[in-house]
Amino acid sequence: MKTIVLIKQVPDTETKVKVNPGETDINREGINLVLNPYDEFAAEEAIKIKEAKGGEVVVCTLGEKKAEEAIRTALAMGADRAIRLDGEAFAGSDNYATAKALAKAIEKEGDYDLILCGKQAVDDDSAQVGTLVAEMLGIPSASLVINCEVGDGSVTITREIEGGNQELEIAMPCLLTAQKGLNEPRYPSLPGIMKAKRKKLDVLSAGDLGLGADEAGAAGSKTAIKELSMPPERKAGQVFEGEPEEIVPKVAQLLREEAKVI
Amino acid sequence: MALKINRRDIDFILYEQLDVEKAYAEIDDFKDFTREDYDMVITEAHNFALKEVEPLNAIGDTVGAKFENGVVTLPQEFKDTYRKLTENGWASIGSSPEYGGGGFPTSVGIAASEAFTAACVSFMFTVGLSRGNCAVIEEFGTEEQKATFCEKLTSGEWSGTMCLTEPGAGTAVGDLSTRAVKDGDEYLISGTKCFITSAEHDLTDNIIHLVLARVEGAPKGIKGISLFIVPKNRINEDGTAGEPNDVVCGGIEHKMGLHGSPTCVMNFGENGRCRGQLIGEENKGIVYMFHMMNEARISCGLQGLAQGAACLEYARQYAHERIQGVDIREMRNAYAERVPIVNHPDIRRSLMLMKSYTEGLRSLILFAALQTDLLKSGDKAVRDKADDLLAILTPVIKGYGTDIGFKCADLAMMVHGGYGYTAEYPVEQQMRDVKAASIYEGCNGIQALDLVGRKLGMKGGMALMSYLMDINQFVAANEKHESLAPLFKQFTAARDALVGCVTQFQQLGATKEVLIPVLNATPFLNMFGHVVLAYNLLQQAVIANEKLDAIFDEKDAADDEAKNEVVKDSPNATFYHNKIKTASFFIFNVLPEVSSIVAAIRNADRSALDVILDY
Repeated sequence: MKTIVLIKQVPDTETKVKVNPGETDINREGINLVLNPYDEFAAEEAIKIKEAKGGEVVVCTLGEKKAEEAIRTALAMGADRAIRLDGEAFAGSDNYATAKALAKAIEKEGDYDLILCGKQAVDDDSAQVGTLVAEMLGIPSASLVINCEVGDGSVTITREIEGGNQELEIAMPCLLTAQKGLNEPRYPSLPGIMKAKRKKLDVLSAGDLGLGADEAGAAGSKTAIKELSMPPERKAGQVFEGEPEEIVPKVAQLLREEAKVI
Repeated sequence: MALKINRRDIDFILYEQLDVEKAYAEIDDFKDFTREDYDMVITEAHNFALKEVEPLNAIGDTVGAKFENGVVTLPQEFKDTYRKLTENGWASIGSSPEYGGGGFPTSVGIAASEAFTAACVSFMFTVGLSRGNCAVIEEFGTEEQKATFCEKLTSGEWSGTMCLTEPGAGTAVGDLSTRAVKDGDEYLISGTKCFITSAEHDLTDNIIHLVLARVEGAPKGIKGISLFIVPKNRINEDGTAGEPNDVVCGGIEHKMGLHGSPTCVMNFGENGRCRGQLIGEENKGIVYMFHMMNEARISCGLQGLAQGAACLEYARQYAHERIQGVDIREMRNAYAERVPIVNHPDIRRSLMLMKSYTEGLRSLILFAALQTDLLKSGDKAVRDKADDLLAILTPVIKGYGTDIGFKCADLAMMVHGGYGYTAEYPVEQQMRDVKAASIYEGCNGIQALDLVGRKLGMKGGMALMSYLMDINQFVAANEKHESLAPLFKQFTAARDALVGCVTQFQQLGATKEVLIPVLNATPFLNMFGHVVLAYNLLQQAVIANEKLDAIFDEKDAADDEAKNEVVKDSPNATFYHNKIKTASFFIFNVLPEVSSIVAAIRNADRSALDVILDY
C-alpha cells in the first residue's frame, strides 16, 4: 500500500499578517512557517494506514528549500520519504499550475493506492489543489473526509456535507482531502526528528517532470494575483445623545443615506 | 491568558550572540548536528509543552499530589502526559545516546526546557531529577550499575531522586545521620530523609534514590559521607523491578505552592531490610552528589527564568487588554479616551524591569549551558576555562536567578492589580510555585556564601580573574562605541566598584573582621548579579546595534523619521531596537544600585552582629 501525502508550508495561524501596498505577497519577514494544519491530519491518516496495512508513505510538496522544514515535520511524524518540487520554472504557480506539477510528480512516482491532502491550506484557503490533482490524474476523489477505512481495493469514507454526513465507498486509487476530526495528529517525537534526517528527499525540477515552459509557474497558470490588501479597518461607532424624539430621525436619516441599509 | 515563550530571544542568544553552531562544530559529541536539528527540537518541544504540559498546571495546583497509607498518587492527567512526554523523547533531549538519549547539547536542552518549566514546573521535577540522577550513575557508577539503571532512567521507565536533607541536617549536610552498614557486596541503609522531591509517586513502577549516608566508623562531617543507589523496589535478575526494598514514604508536605510535586518524608530500612549499592568509593559521596547539585542549581535558575519570563508575558498581554484611566497628561479631562494600562509609565517601568531581568538571565543561563557543553571539548584549555566560569556563575544563576523569578512574579501581579491576586489569573500560582526555587538546592543565602567564601578565592582568585578578563576585553573593544558609549561608561563604574569590593573582602578576610564579608554575602551576590546581567545585556546591545544599522542601510532609512518607520514595520528591527532599549534601561536604572550596595558594604557596619536578638 503506497500513500502519497500532498503538503504545504504555510504561515503559523497566529501570524499577524502585513501586506505591503502594491505587492502580491504578504510581508514574510519574521513569519513563523508551519506544516498546514489540515495536512497534518492527512499525514497522520497515511501513517496510521501504513501502521495497520504496511507499505509506505511518500510526502510531496511544491516549495522552496525552506519548505523542507514542513517536510521534516511529516517525516518526523513517521512518513518514509519525500519529494520536493523546486526551481525557477515553478515561480508564480497558481492552484492549477501547482496541481499540474503535483499530478506530474505523482505520475512519475507511480504505483500509488491513495493520495491524501488537507481540505485546504490555511494561507490562501482556496481548497482547490487536491481535487484538481485528482481530476488531472483521472481518479475519483472525496473532500472533507472525517473517517476513512481502507478495505480491499476500495476505501469507505465519511465526509461532511451541508447539514450532515455522507458515507461513500470509493475505488482505489483515489484522492481524499482531510477535514478536522479525521484523527488526532501525533507530535513529531525526538527520535522521529533524528530518524527524519536520514530519510530520502528527492528534489525535482519542472524539467524532471517533463513540464514544458508554458505548463509550469506563472506561464502555466490560469489566474494571477493582481493585488493584496488588508480588509478596511472598522470605524469607531457613533453615539447619539439626547431625547429619543430628537435623535431617532437623525439615526434613521443616517441609516438611509450613509449606511444605506433602510 | 495564553502562555508565551520568547523564541525570538532564544534564537538570538543561541545563534547571534553565542554562535553555538560554530562552537559545537568543534566538539566531537555534537559535530553531526546542524542548526535545523536544534531548531526543530526546540520548536517541537515548545509545541508539546504548550499544548500538553501547560494544561497540567492548574490541575496540579488544585488537585495536587495525594498521600494515603504510604502511597502517593498524582492526577491521572499527570500520568497520561508523563507517558506521552517520555515516549516522545522530551525527557532525554541531552541524555547520552548510549542509553537512548538524544545526545543534544545542554544549551538546546535548556532552550527546550524553558517552555516545559514555564508550562508546569511541578510536573517537570520528576523528569529533571531522573536526568540528574542518571548522570551521576553514568559518571561514577560501575559498568553493572550503568547497565542496570541508565537506560531505564533515560527512557523515563523509572524515575530518580536525590536524598540529602534530613530532619537534623539541611543546609549543614555534613551533620547527616543516615547509616550504611556493609553487608556482603551491598550495604544496609537506615535513616530518615525529608523534603525529598518525587520520592514517592505513581508515574513509574520503580524509583531510584541516590542516598547520602555515613558508613559505620566513617569520619565526622562531609568527609565521611558516601553515596548509595537505593531502589524503591529491588532489581530482579532480569533487570525488572522486584520486591519492595523497605523504602517507605512517611508523608508529604503541605506547601504554599508546587502542589503537583510530592515533597516526601522517606524512611529507609525501618525493618532493617533496605539494601543499597555504593557509588564509587566510600566517603566521597559529597563530591559525586555535587555533580548532580551543580546541574540542579542551574535548573533552579532556569526555573526563575522560565517562570519570570512567563509572568512578563502574562503581564504584557494583560497590560494591552486592560483599559483603565486616561493618559496622565489628560487627567483633568473627564471626556478623554480611556487607554490600555500599557500606556501608563509605571506599568512600562514594571514591564521593562521584568524584560531586562529575564532577557539578561536567559543570556546568562544559555552561556552557562554552553560552558557545560565546552567541558566536552578536546582542548584542555577550553575545558579548564569553562570549568572556572561555571564555578563562578553557578551561585549567581541559582541565587540571583531565582530571586529574579520571584521579583518578576511580584511585578507581574502589580501590573494585574487586584485581579492578579485572584486565582482567576495565572500569576498568583506562578508566584507561589517560584518561591521554593530560592529555598531548595542550597538556599540563596548559601549561594551567596558559596560565591564569597569559596568561589572568589578559588584557584587563588584566578577563576574570578578569568571572568573579569573577558569583561575587560569586551569593554576595551567597545567602550568608544559610537552610540553605546554612555552605557559602557556606566558599566565600567559598576565593574570598578565590584572589583573594589572584592579587594576589600580580601583585606578583611585577613583580619579579625572576617565576619563582615560573610554578613554581606547576600548584598554582594545581588551586586555581582547586577554586573553579570549588565555585561550580558551590553553584549546583546552591541550586536543588536550593528544589526539594526544594517537593516536601516538596507531599507535606505537615513533620518529619524524613516528609521522610526522601519522600527515599527520590520519585526527584526523592532526586536533589535527593543534589545538596545532593554540594555539601556537596565544599565541606567538598575545597575546604579551597585554603587549604593558597595557603599553600604564599605561601611563595614557590625550592628547585625552586635544586636541582642533574644530580647
